[in-house]
Amino acid sequence: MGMKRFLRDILLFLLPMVLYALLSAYLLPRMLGQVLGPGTQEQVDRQFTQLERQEPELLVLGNSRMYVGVDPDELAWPAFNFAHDNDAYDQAYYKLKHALEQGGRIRYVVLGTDVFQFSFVSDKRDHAYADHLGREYLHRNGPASRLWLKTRRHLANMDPRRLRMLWSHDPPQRLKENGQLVKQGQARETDRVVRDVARLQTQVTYFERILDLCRTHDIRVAIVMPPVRRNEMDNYSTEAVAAFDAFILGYVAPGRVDYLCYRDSPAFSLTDYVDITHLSAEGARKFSRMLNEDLKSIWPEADPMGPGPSSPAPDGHS
Amino acid sequence: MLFNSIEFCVFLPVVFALYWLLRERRAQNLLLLVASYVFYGWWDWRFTSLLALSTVVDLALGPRMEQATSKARRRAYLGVSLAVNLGVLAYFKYANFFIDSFVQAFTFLGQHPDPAHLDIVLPVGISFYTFQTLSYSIDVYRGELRATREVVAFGAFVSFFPQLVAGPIERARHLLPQFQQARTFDRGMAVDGLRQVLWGAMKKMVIADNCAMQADAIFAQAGELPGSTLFLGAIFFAFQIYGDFSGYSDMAIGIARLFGFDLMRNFAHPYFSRDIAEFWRRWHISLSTWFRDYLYIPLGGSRVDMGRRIRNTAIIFLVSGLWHGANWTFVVWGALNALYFLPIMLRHRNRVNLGTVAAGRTWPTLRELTSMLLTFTLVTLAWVFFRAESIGHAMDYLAGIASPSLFTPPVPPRPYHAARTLAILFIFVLMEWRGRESAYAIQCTGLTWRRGWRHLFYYVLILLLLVFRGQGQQFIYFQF
Repeated sequence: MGMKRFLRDILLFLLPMVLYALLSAYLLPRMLGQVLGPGTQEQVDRQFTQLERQEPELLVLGNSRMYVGVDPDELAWPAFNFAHDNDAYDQAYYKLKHALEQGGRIRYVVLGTDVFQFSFVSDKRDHAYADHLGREYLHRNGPASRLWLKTRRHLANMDPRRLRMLWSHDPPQRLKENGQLVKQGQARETDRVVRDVARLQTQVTYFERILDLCRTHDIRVAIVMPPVRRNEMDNYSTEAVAAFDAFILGYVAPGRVDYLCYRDSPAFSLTDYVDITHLSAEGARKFSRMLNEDLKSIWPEADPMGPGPSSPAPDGHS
Repeated sequence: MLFNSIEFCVFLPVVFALYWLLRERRAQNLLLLVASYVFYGWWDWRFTSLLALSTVVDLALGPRMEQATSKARRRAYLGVSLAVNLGVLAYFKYANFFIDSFVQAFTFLGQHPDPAHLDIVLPVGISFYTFQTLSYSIDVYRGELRATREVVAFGAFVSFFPQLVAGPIERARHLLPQFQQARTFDRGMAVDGLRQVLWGAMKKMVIADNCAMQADAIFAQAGELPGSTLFLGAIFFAFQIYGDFSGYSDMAIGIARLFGFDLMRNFAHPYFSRDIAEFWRRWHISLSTWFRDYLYIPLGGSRVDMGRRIRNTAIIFLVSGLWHGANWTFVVWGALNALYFLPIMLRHRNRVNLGTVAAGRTWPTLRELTSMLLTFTLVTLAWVFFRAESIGHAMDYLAGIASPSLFTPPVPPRPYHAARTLAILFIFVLMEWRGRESAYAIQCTGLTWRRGWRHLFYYVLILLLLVFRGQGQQFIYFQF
């Protein structure tokens, strides 16, 4: 009797929340999509569809700094930006594998890196990737359920703070056909972010797997660190940065793997960013042009326009 | 699995439903055992073996200890239990600490030994369940508890998921008998449990997580900030650790009540204490009383001469510090609390404030308010050692506080968030004050209201929890 009454009370209490859950699962994403631009699921789905259509020669992989910061239209090769928010090297590895399995003619990979890039493992977007990257990806860290990932996502979407986004004044973000995400906004001097320099073995392993996969398929790799704001660099000691560079340089193999580091490039100022870490559309174009020139200098034989005068190397360029 | 994770939001209702469907005590115990291992194995299934080891060893030794005819043999069995349990704890938690301290000591003396640094992962909550199983062995040794042969009941007692990883550290003589008797669903107890879970979640997700963001930012930039901001940072940390740990305890106690179990109280509004002795009677009660029962009293307790009392008290505080973490900062934190406590004890004033402050009144007297503020300040300054990465960091931080800039306006790194967090803290302290005579602040709130209003109150709390929750942080006490 006590249990029945308890359950009845609980169900009655939860009823408004269940209604809200349904609202947040089906209606809210559509409304938010109109205000903020495509959501995670839509971005991922569209990237995978567009990749199949475009058959690029050059693939950009990495985290959100590459996703937002590299505009493939500014590169001299048929290129596609396949990076995404929170992508670590495990995601990058499986994406590259997927692209190759699709029968793509990929010959070059621009692989983003950051001082913090080896420090995290992310499964935040597995609910979206699970639809495209298959079982091996899904179970890479142990047993996982696609249904559970989707359910967890729906539950997370119930966060009432998401409702506030409906009144956002920021212009919506936009996903371009070439895979790049364009963000709007203006960085502030006071922006801060917390970064970690730890180097997780699992990410090192996936990083090496990417390089192995590229070697096997005769793909040339440029490991690229996009420009970094001073406030973000405050997270790292000089020794940690030097150790990171030394670590990456250990993988450089002339003619096959290069390292292009724009971390301290003086060409970028506050106006080139939309926040603490992401470049604006204009900043991304500027960076992509610089990157293009440097790629042409390290891959002269592959330059569709033919070898040209070599461009000055960026800071730390190896 | 975290209490405030989505996984747990699914796990708990499933276990709850199955548990009450089973009805039969032994089957319920088996379910709790399996559920607890799933809960613990969610982090890293390998460490469930440590849990099983501790369970098997004490289960095997208990009856032998009880049947032993000589005291020497009983003592030997107890010794094995202590050696295994504390040995595992020492290896996983303290091995590197002792190696590093050894190296530092020899380096200071001009030697440069180079022993290997062990790559050890600290199993979550190891200090909690180790102390809980030890309470069983010691109670059986003392003849205060009958040894059990019920494998499942004992296994469920050791691994009981609500309090497995961050307490309260239960005494075997209190919790184990509850696994050995039939449990019937008590609606009032379950509703009270849910209310306590809600308040615990509020403390963790709103108070602790918001304060953590401020405390982390201020401690990270300590060298550049004025004393007033550093003091504010210490206050944020004081509320972070209180919200975090007492919030977890509230959730643990509330969840246990859903299954018909009564866990001991772990916090009794400690920041309303009028002296340090009272604070330690109200903070982490299950650990303080564990040390009292199993260390302080065996050492002679307070029934010895003053010199030995001082020694015993110092030992308790130092061991308590070391229990919290393998770092000298925790030892200094314990020593500092001992220094606070000893003058009160020497003046025989340590049992003056036994009741609730301002009991039966709305507001405290000026004297009570002053005592509370002074005690809170002392506790907060000691927390600096608890939070700092090294003793040097803590000393620099305290030196920063004790500078003329203490009297300048604070400039927290994220002013808007700091102001909002302070406003939340103000309301929180008022609610805690209002409910200081209850087991938790909202225990009696709304009990006489109509159901609609009462539900509205809970909806508002849930909404506040979701809207104002900080960025998810691990529970601090998991690392202990």
